[in-house]
Amino acid sequence: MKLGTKLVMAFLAMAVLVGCVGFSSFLELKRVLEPLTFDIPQGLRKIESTSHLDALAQKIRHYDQILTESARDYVYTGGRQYKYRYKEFEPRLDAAIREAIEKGDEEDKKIFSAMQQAKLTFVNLEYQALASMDKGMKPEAMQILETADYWRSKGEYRRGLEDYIERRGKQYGESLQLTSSQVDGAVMNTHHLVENAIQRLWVISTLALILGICLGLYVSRSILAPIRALKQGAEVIGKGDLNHSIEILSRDEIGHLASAFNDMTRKLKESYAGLEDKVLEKTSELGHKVEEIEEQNKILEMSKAAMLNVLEDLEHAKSEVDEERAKDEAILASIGDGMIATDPQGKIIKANKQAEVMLGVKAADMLGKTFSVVMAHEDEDGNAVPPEQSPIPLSLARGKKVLAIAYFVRKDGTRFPAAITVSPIVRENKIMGAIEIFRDISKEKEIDRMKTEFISLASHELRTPLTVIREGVSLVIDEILGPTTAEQKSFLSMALKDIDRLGRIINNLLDVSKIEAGKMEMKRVHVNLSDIAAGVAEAFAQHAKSKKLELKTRFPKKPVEMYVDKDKIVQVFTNLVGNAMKFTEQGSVEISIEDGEDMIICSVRDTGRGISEQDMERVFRKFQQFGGAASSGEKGTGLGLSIAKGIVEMHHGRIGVESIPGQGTRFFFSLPKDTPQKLFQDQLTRELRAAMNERSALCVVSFTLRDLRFGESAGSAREKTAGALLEDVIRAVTHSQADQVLREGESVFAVFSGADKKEIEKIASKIRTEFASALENAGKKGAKAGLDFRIANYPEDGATGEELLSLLSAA
Amino acid sequence: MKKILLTDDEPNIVKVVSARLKAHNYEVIPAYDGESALDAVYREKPDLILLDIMLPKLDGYKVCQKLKSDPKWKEVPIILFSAKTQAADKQTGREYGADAYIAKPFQPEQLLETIKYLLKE
Repeated sequence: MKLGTKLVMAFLAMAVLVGCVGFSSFLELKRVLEPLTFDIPQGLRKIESTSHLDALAQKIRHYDQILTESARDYVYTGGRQYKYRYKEFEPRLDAAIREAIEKGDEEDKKIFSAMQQAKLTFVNLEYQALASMDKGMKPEAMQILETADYWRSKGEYRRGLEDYIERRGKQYGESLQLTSSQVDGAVMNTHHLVENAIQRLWVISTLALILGICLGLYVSRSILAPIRALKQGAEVIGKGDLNHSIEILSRDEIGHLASAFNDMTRKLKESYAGLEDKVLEKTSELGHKVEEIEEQNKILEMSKAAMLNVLEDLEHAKSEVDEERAKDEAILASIGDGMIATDPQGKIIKANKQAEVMLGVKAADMLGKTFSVVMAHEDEDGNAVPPEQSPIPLSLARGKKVLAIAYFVRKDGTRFPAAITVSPIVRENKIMGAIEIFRDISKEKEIDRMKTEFISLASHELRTPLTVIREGVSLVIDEILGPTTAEQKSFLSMALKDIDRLGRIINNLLDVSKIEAGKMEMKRVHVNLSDIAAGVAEAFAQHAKSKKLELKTRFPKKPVEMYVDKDKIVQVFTNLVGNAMKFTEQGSVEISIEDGEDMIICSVRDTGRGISEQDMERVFRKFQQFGGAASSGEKGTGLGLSIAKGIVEMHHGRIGVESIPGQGTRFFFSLPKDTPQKLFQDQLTRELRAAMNERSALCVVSFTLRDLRFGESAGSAREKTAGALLEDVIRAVTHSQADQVLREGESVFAVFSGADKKEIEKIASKIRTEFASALENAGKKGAKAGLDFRIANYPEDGATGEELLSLLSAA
Repeated sequence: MKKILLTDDEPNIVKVVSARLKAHNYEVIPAYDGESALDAVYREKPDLILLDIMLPKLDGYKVCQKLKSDPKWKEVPIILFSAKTQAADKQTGREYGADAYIAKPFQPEQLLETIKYLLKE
């Protein structure tokens, strides 16, 4: 039998068992149905019919009363309504009695028939009384109702009724007793039936359950046993006993499987037998091979000798490598900078001679230690740098080059500033170590300090005596101290002019030294270059008029939006236009701006005397003056063009000149059209580098206008105004502490170097308040805008400009 | 006669500027450092203050800030008067509440006009 067939039959058997249980319960239920539908309702019906007769008797008594009273009332009062009432109820009484006779049993019929007789008699009399009354014979009518016949018949009637009721009462009790005993019997009967049914169902269910379990066990056994036999057989064969055969008698799929298995085992056994033969064969072959190998060994022996020769050569090459290494060592030793190399944990594995000398520690004493243990790092103010923030661990952690300046403190307490460069050694994306190179920058520091000192000293110390001299001379010229002759005055005026020139020279000289020292600060802002040039032209308008020169301007129609240091670009234009005016006697001076593809080109062209070829190359050098002094006006300082060049180059631009002697000169400078964002980012990168060097903090803040609303309509021009206003507020609130301010659409970015986050948070909140009131004060009624700000700072939030800016723009 | 407090650590400057101001009928009270300048303000109640920036003891910015944040004195005009000529210095002066900024060496006309303007003469 197949497995499927077995399972189907087992299910069928179960279904039949369930069916039997179901059918027997149906039969049992049917038995209970009989007493419920027949016995109990019959008893109830009996009670009902009895009570119906009772109701009739009640009616008969009641109608009789009505008739007696109506007849009497008519006779005594003569009210016709009583007569009608009588006539209405008389037939009803008649009908009721007749119904009672019909429905009652024999005894009842007898009683009700007698009552019918009596009723005929008194009704007859009552009709007579009514008729007499109708004729107006009241006494006669009254007499009729008092007759003995009348009362006797009434009495008979009522006795009959009482008899009935008495009998009925007895009968009623009996019937009730009967009926309730009948119902009791039925209920008892039903109870028995149900109990029996439950007992029988219990037996049937238990039998069915036992049968089902037996059937299940049988079926599963008949399926499982062969499988188990198969499994055991497979295990035995698996262990290598190929003689085992599985005995399964079942003729289902498992039987087939077992015989296939046995087949397989047999074939395996056959192939194994073949294999053993082959192994024997191969073993004898191997014997031959061994001899051959011995032969080959001899040949190998010879190769080995040759190899030794090669190794000798290699030894030679190695000494050459050693030579190379010695050279490298010599180079390392002769480098002026200190150098140490570390493993990935920052432990020193090498230090050059210079490092030993500079640090005053033997290389052997450094090996295996971290650099911060060997050498204490301090900042400029003498605060210790935490070891984990020293350059080597920073570089190892970031996998990036780290530039820094730190003070190294030697064991003897002396210290020196060092410019440090740490580069991680990265191989296959793994950091293998780091190399630190450091240089003593004491001298540079000193020079730097002196430069700064000179500039501030010069600005104060040179101007102060100049002020005294100038004012002293002026007081004399102005005759405040007493009368002066005309000749004295003319000499003093000459002195005054040169004092003023000296003042300008000092100013220019300071600018030049600042540019050269890299101390010139740049504060880039958004400007329209045309506006700047137009402003300069306006400043020279009066001067041009007095010299009868035409001052022309030529600007692109579109605003030339640039991100530059406004004051410095004004200075460039002023110097160039001032020069042009000075050297032009007639004709014109033209200021023009061209909007090129990737740069803006500004030109100042004059129709003056021009510059000779040999002078051209010197024009931008310091203290160069050409063609003698200018014919009129102030003398120059010889520094204006040099400063212009410095400023243009600070903006990554180029300045140049072309001239034809006798015809005119054109000075021009280009400014790259870098996007403000790029310039801002470049500047940020520079400041970050400075912050890293100085181990100071840096914050970048973005302010964003939100829900900008003006009283009237909103437009891009108005938004720009709000943005510009915001920029002004930021500058005012921060006392120009913000090094860079960039406006980009509705956002303004500001860089604060040397400031920590908490400080900046306070400032930013203040800016928000001030901006709100500034917007109101700006006269834009109903103007409103929210101001959001975000802060990103170095070193906590990131170490590159991109990282910091991306934090700010991630909305 | 209007009173002007003239503060500068350089006596010669005080001398020449005083001569100029006196010639224009101003009473001049000299002071040579920041602290004595403040004392002089409280004592003499000047109508205008000429204030150098680089002063001993208390610098001109601080004097300016102190007076401008004091309701009693904030109406007194202050002219910063300094050899510092950087745009940033002028900006800082404005932010500390100074009413004007005159760079040294100065043009006497400019100084006098500024004083007149601030004294509303």
